[in-house]
Amino acid sequence: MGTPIVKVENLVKRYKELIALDHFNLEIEEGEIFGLLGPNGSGKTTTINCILSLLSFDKGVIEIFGQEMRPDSYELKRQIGVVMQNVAVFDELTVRENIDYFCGLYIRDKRLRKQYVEEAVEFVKLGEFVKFYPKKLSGGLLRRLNIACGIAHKPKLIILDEPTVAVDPQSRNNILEGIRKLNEQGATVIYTSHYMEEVEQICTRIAIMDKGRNIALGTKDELKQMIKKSETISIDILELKEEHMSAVRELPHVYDVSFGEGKLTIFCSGGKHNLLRILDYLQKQNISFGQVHSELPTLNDVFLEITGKQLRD
Amino acid sequence: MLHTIKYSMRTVIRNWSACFWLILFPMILGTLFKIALSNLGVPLERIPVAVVTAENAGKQEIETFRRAADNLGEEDLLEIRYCEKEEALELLEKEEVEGILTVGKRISLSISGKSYNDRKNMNRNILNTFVNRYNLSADAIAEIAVNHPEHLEDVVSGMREEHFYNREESLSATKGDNYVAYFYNLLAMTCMFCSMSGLEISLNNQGNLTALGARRNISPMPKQSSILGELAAYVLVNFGCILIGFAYINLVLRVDLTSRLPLTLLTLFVSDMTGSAFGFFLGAIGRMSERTKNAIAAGVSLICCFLSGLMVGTMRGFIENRIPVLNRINPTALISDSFYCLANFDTYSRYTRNMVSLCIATAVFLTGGFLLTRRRQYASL
Repeated sequence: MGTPIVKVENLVKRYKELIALDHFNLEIEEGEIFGLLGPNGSGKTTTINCILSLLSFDKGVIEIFGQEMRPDSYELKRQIGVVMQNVAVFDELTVRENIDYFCGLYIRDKRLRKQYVEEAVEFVKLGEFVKFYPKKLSGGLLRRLNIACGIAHKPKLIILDEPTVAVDPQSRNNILEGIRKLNEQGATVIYTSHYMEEVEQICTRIAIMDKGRNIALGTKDELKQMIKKSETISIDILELKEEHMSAVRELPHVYDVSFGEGKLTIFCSGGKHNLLRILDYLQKQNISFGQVHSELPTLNDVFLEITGKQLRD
Repeated sequence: MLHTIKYSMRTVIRNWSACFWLILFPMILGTLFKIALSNLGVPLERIPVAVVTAENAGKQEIETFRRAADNLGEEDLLEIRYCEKEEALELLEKEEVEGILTVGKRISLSISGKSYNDRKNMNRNILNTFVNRYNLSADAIAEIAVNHPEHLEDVVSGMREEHFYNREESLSATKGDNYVAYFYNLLAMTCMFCSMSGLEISLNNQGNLTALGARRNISPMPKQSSILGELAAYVLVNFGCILIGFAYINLVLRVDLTSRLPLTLLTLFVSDMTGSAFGFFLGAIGRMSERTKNAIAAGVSLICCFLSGLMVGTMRGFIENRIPVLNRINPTALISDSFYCLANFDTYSRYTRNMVSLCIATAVFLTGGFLLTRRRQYASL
């Protein structure tokens, strides 16, 4: 492993009595799409703002590209692109002007900037709207403009803080697809969200946060292996005797079984072919059944098992 | 920085509300001032009167009246038409004259019995005063002729000459005009409204107040460069807006504010900077919401304008007599007084003092603003 792109060590941030970040640690390698997942108020945005040197903190060290990050680290900031949670554009400037303005804060060469602006417009698919003022754009298009303003200068590190909040599904897919493309083009991405599906969809590594702490870290598969549950199987059955329930419970890798309202639910931990094994048992016992569902664990299950609460609580 | 100036100029030019305060508001208020104050200082019209000879009057009485009338001079109040009684009555009936003076040993005034407006009533009072004064003089001459005939000639010649024991003398070559002071205050207020721009600059550069501020704080452009660029753009555009209002007042409303035009323009420019710097400083203080800060900026500007005499013309003089230091630190009073100095004084000492005070205020506001908004981390966002 080389020098991490972002390194956060023992970061502590207090708001009077409230501890927003509690000895938070993080290392992000080059080329990753790193997801910071956690419920609202878990400390994701605080972490990002500390990394960007926008927020002061009480304790800890933050390094970016191997250098300490400070408010006047202008050369480091030149290599970072940020898409904030709140849309930050000028209402009085058109789409193209907004992108050009923010790109101009990073890129001085006019010709290069013009090229970058065109590429950013194309990247977020706002070509038809370049002469529009932000007030004329829909919520999704506005978010795309916000992203274009943050990434037009082709930064090496891109930080996206909940970029899909209040965005329609089509725009959300466009945004996620765009993030993947940026990563393919060489950018390291930090992506914060409380939507576990998005994080699962695009992130190569994920840190799950709760109460300012990093409670789990790894790839999505590594995270899911941390918990007991690996598969949940649901089968529609009209009637099931207690003896069959007990027999199913004794099958390999099954750790819990419940039956109610015509549905048998079986929780398995690890192992392969759990579904086949259960269906085979039911057929041998001449138990007729209807629809069958098999669900793999989600990050919400991981969060639930570690913290005892839902991600969206 | 040029990049920031370019886009800041576009931003402020397209901001309709800023244009309203800096262009339309002085135009509207200036027009209202013009309508309300246009009668002040305008010379009174001469009053047309018919003069007829009384039946018992001799040539001497008529001659005496003619001499007295001639003595009134060109700029006096009466426009006299000598005529016969019938013609005079006809003129009065047609309202071509305000009254009929019947000249005998004394003179009498006949006026129409129709209902009159204020203007006509005022003319009637003036004619009455004239008649009374004439008759008093005539009575005095008659009495002296009987009791002291040896002094008659001296008395008559003395009456022919109107004596003025003091004379109005302008202290400068410039022309002063009291009601123009309202327009000085109006321009001063317009300049103070530039504080709204300064306020916006301040808010747009603070990461803990606006999303735009946060985005700028994480960019590699030093905050001072960003703020200076924006200030330059806003001051230039605001100056253009102020000039439009200034041109409207001079060219359309015909209120001459162009005494020493280059210095007047310099005053407007410095005042524009003072207003912007004030707003910038205000925006940098505390974490109040944008709306609250806007309200404070507008409120402070209006209070300054009130104290400098925009609403009550005598206020600045009142403060000068009681708390003169207030007039030395109130930017609006300083701006308004600078225009007054240019219009009324040949010397520049007071004007220079005002301009130095404005420059010091600008420097203090800018320094304070920069210190409060300098590149730093925020405790909370």
